[in-house]
Amino acid sequence: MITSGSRMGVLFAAAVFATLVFPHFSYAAIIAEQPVYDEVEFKNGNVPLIFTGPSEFTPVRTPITHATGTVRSARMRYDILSGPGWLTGGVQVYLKECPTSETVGGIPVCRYIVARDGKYGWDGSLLYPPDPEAAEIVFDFTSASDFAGVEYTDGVPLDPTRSYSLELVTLNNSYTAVVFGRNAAAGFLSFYALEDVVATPAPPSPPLPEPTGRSYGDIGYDFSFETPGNLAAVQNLGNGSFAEGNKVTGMDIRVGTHAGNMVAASIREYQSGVGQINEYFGRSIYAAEGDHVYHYDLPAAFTPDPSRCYQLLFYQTITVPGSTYYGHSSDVYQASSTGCAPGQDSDDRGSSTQNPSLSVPGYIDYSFRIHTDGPPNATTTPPTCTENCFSNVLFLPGIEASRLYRTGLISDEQLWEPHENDDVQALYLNPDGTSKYPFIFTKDVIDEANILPIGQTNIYKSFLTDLNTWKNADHIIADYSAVPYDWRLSLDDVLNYGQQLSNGRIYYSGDLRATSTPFIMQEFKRLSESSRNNGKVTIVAHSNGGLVAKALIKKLQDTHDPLLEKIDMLVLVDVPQVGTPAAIGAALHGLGQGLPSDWFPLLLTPATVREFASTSPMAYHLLPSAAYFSGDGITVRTPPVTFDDGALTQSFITKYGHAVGNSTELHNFLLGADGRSQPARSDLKSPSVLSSSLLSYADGIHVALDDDSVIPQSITVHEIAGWGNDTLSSIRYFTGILCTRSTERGICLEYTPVLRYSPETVIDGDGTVITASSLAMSTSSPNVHRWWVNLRSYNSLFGFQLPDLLRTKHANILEIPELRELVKSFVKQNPSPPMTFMSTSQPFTDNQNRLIFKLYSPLTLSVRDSHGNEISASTSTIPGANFLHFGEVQFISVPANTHPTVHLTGYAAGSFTLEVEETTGDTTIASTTFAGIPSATSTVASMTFADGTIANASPLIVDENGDGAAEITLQAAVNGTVLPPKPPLTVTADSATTTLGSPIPHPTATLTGFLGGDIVTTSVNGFANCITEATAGSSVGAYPITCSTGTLASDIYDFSTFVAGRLSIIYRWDGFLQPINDTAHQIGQNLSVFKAGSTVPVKLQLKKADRTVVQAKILPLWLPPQKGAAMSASVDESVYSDPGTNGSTFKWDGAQYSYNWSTKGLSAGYWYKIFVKLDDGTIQSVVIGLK
Amino acid sequence: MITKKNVFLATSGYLATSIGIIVFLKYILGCPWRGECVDLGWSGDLIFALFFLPMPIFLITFVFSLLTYNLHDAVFIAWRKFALWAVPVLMILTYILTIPPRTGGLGIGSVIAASFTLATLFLLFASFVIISLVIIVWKYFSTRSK
Repeated sequence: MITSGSRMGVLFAAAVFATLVFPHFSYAAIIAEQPVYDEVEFKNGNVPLIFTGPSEFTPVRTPITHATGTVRSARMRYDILSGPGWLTGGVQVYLKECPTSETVGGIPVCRYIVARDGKYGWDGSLLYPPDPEAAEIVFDFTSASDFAGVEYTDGVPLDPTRSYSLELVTLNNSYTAVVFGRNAAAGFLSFYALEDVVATPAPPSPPLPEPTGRSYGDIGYDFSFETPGNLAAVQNLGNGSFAEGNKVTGMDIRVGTHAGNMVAASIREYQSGVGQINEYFGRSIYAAEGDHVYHYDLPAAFTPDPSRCYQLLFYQTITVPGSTYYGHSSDVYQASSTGCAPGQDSDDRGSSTQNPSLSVPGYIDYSFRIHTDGPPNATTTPPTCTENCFSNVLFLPGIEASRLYRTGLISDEQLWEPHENDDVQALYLNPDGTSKYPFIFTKDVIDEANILPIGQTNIYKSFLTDLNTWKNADHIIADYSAVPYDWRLSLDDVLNYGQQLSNGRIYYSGDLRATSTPFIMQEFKRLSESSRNNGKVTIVAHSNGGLVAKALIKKLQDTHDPLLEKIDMLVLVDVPQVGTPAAIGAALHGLGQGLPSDWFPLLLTPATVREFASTSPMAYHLLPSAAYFSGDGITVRTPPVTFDDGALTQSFITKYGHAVGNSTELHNFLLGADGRSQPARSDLKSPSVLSSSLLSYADGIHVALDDDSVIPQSITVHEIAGWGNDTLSSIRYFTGILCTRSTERGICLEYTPVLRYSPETVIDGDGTVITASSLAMSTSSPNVHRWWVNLRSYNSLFGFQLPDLLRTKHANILEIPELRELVKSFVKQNPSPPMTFMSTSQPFTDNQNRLIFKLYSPLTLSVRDSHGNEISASTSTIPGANFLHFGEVQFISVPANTHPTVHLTGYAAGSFTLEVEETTGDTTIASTTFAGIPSATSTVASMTFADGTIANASPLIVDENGDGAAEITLQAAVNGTVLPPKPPLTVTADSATTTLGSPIPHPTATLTGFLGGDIVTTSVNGFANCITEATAGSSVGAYPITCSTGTLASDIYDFSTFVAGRLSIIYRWDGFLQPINDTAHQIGQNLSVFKAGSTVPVKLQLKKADRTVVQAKILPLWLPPQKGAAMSASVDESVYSDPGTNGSTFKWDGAQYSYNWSTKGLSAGYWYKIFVKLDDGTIQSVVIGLK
Repeated sequence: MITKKNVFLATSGYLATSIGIIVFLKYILGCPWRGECVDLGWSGDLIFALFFLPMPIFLITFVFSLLTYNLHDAVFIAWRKFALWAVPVLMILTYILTIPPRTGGLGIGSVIAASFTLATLFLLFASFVIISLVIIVWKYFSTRSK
C-alpha cells in the first residue's frame, strides 16, 4: 500500500535522480507576430513538486522559423516562485537559436542568447532572488550576448534559415536546479512574447532525395527496425552477406520530434579487442515538427568489414547554456557476428516522458533504413520457402493468465497472481473501466501458478515449451510470440495500447500506455515479417484471448488494414465467444473466485474479487451476450438465472418470470431493475448491481464480435471446446431460512427468510465456459471447424472420474498433450490430426441415434436414463445430453442408447404438445407428435423409450390431475400426430311435425354434452348432416330423421354419438264438424250440450294442408269418452235418435267420417270428452255436455 | 488390536486391493489408464474415494509398518501413538481438501487453488513422514541404549 510518507519519499528520490541526470528543464512558448501570453495554469492542489517538462501540461513549444527582423524584447508573466525552499536559484530566460555552425561530436548544436539590461542580475536575464509576487517582466534584448561572447547592441537579428525560441530555466541555489513548481496555492506560469519579429510562412520542404541502391530496414513507424529481419540487416553489416560487400552510402531515420532539435545518425565501427575505430556520421539535420523521415548521405561511403562489428546510433540534441550539451542517443544495434555483442535495441522509449523536449507525444521511437550502392531493392525479395512453410504463431492467453505488476522499491511487485487482497485491490479500476493505479504493467504470460514455492500447477508451461520447440527444435515455425496483456481492461484498450519499454515492461494503462504501435499489433507485424508462409500468422487464442483475437480481426477489417490478409488461421480454445454464466456468478457473488477457495479465502476473498469485477470491463464482456440466447451456432443453452417461488424471490419473478430467458431480462437483472439495492460488501449471498455503462460497453463489443461475418472466409477457424467438466450454467435463487433466535442448546426458535442462491451445473463445458459458447460460430460457415475435447474422458483414471482438484479444466486445458498435438497439426496443416480425446462432434454421440424432445407447454421437461441420470433445465448428468430453452419451448436431446424416459410436470393449466424425433446425425428417421394434450398444475406425464426407438416406445401416460391414475393413454404414431381423446358431444336430430301435403322442413340437430361452460358457438364449427325419407308426397305417419357429422368440427369435442329424430306428417285438423261445437276451432260458440240418452253424431273430415279432404288409409278410431265434471247447462243441440254405431271405427260416407255415439246409460249433467285417433298418430278430442 | 502384524496386514491388504482393482480394470476389462471405461456411476466415485485417494497415506503407513516390523516393540508403539491420530487426521484432511468441487469462477483460480491444495497436502504428508522418522529413530536409539 502506498502511504503518503512513502509517496513523498518516492518523489524526493525522483527529484534527486532528476537533478543528477537532467541538468536542465525548460519550458517555452513563442508567439511570433503579436505579444500573446501562453499560460499554463496551476490549479490549487494540482501542482507537481517536480516539473518534468511541458508535455505534462500544454505542449506549446513552437519555435519561429523562417523569420526576419530583430528580437528586441521578450516578456514573461509568472507566479511560480513562492514555493518554500525549492526555487532559491531563480529563473533565467534565453533566446535559443538553432542550428549553429558549432558542432559537438560532429553534430551542430544550438546557442543561447541572454539579455543584458542589468536589472535582474549579472547577466541581465537572471531573476534572482525570485519575486514572491506575481509579476510581469520584460527582458530587453537590445543589449544581449551569447555564452561564446558575441555581443548584440541593437537587438538580435534573425536568420531565416534558423529557428528561434525562448526557454526558461529554473535554478536552485546550486545553479543546477531542476525543480520547478510549488507546493500549494493556485497560480499561473505564463510566457513570452517576442517583439519586433516578423515570421514568414515556411516554404514547402523540398522532397527528400530518393536514395539509390539497395536499402535495408523498412522505415515504418512501428518499431519495424526492431523486427528480427531488419535487425538482421544491420547485424549483417559486418558478416559479409550484407549487400555482397557493397558500400554503405547513407541512411534514413524516421523520428517524431519537436522543431528545433537536431537529429543525426552515425554508424560506429568496432574491432574486437580494440573498441571503436571509426564512426561514420550522417549530416545533422534541423528537425521539423512532427513525424518525418530524414535522409543522410554519409560523407564517405565505406565497405563493411566482416571481421568487425557495427553499431547504429541515433542522435537527437538539445543544448543548454554554457559549455555543456546534452545529446540523446540511442538505438544501438550491434552485430552479433564476429564475436561482438548480440544485437539489441537500447533505445530509450521512455524518452517522451523522461525528456519531453525531444519527442513529440505519440511518436516515441524511431527506425532506421540504411542504403548501399548495391543492386536495387528488388533483389531483397525473400527466397521462396521450400520446407516448413508454415505460419508463425501468435498466442493470446486468457484472463488472469498474464502476470501484472507495479513498480516496487527494489524490484517489480507482482500483483497477479495475488498473495493477498491488497494485491487485487491495487488492480482496482475506475468506474469507467480504466486502471486506478496508472503504472500497472505486465511482462509475461503465466507458465505456472507461482504463489507458493511448491505445488505449482502448470497453466501454459507445456504449451509455451511446445512453441519454443516448434521454433527452435522442430523448426516448424520461424517464430512465435506469447503476448501478455492487461486482461482487466476493455478489448479496445488491450488492442489500442500496449507500450513495451526497454526493460520489458508492457503498459496498457496509464500515461505510459500511449503508443502508435500497440504491442499486440507490433508483435503481429513482427511475426508476419518473419513468417515463412507468405507473411501469414496463425493466432492461437485461449479463453478471453479469443475475444481479443476477434476484436483484432474486427479492427483490421474496420481500418481496411492489409494485415488482415496475413491471418492464416484462428484457433479458439475454450473461448467464451458469447459469454458464460460463470461470469454472472463471479460478478454478482464473487462465486468461485476465492483463493484458495471461497470457503477458505486465505489469499483472496470473493468479496474483493466481486468489488474488483464490478468495474472491470473484462468481467462484463464475459457475461452472456444477446447471441448467447439466440446465436446461430448455439447448440446448448439453459436459462442463466432462475428463481424458485418464495417470499424473497417474488420481486424477481414478477419482473422476469421464473427464468431469465433473454438478454434484455438478463441485462435488467444485472442492473437491478427489480429494485434491489447494492448489497453490503460482505453480503455475498445477495446479487450485486452492475454498472450500466460497462454493460453497455460489453453489449457493443458483442454486437460487433458475435456477428459471424467478423471472420472473413479466408481465415480458417478452429473452435475447440472443452466438454465433460461440471460447468456453471445457471444460478438458481430461492428463499432460504436463517435461524435468528435459538436456545443455548442450538435449537432454533425463530427463522427469518433470506435470499440464497445455488449454482447449477451442466456437463457441457470445461468447468468455466459452456460448450455452446466455445462453439458459437455458425455451423453453416465452411471455414469454421468444431472440435470437442473430452475432458470427462481425459480426467478419468482407469475409468474413475478424478476429483475436482486433480481435473484438467478451462484454465490449464492446453496442458493436455493431445490438444497441443491437435493445435500443432493445425499449424502444420496436417489433414489427419490426432483424435485421442478429440472429436468433431459431441462426445458419446458418434454414430449413435439420438432422441430429441420438444415441449410446447406449461410443463417442465426432463429426461432420465436407465441409470437414473437426468437432463433438465437445472441438471445435466446424462453424458451427451443437451437442454435448451427457447421462450416457452423446451428442448432436450439425448443419445438414444440411454433408453430414456421423458417426464413432464405441469406448473400451469393449459395443454401441451410434445414432439419426439429419432435422428441419426442430421437425419430424422422417425418422429411423432402428441398435440393438444390437456394439462394442469398437477399433471404428470411420462413415456419410455426402452430400446431408444419411437416405434417401440411405451404409450404416453398422462395423469392429468396428479392422483396417480392415468386419465389419458396415447400410443405414439410413427411419423404421425396423436391427438387426445376428445369428450363426445351428442348430436340429436330435432323432431318435427308437418301437415300432409306441406313441404318437408329441413331437418336439424341439437348438440349436447358441452363441458365447463362451453357453448356451441365458440366450441364447434359447421353443421350436422340430417336427413329423412319423407317427401312432400308422403302420406301421414312418422318418419325417422338421422344425422351424421356433416361439417361439424371442434378442437375440443368429438362427434361420435348420434340420436335419431322423427318427422311426423299429420292431417290438417279444423275440428269436429256440426252438430258438435268444437270451440277450439270454431270461434263464438259454446260447448255443445246434448240430451242424455240420445245419439250424438260425431263427424269429422281429414284434410291436406290445402284443406282438400282426404280419406285415411285406416279408419279413424273411436276412443272411449272420458267423464268430466258436473255441469248444469241446458241442452242446446237437437235431439238425435239415430241408432248408435257399432264398433269403434268411424264410417266414411264419401265426404266425411261419422260415428253415432249412443249416450244411453250415461249420466246426465256432466261434461264428457270424446276422442278420435287418426292414422297419422294424432288423437283429437272435444268436450260436450249431456243433460 | 493394533499390532505390528495387524497394521502390516491391513495396509498391505489395502494396497493389494487397490492394486487389484487397477489390475482388474486395466488387464481384465482393458481400461486405459487415462480415459473412460466402465460407467460405475456413484459407486465408481465411492471406490475411488476409498481405494485411491487415501492410497498415499496407506502407502506411507505400510512403509513405516514395514520399517518397524523387525524393530523393538517399543519403537512401533511409540510411532503407533503418533500414527493413531495422525493417520485419521491426514485422511480427513485429504478428503476435505480434495473432494469438494469448486463451482464457477473465471480465470486461473481453480489452478491456483489446486496448487495451494497440493502444496498443503505435500506439507502434511512430509510432516507425517518426518515426524514418524524422528520418532522411530529417537525411540530406536533410546531403547537400544537401554
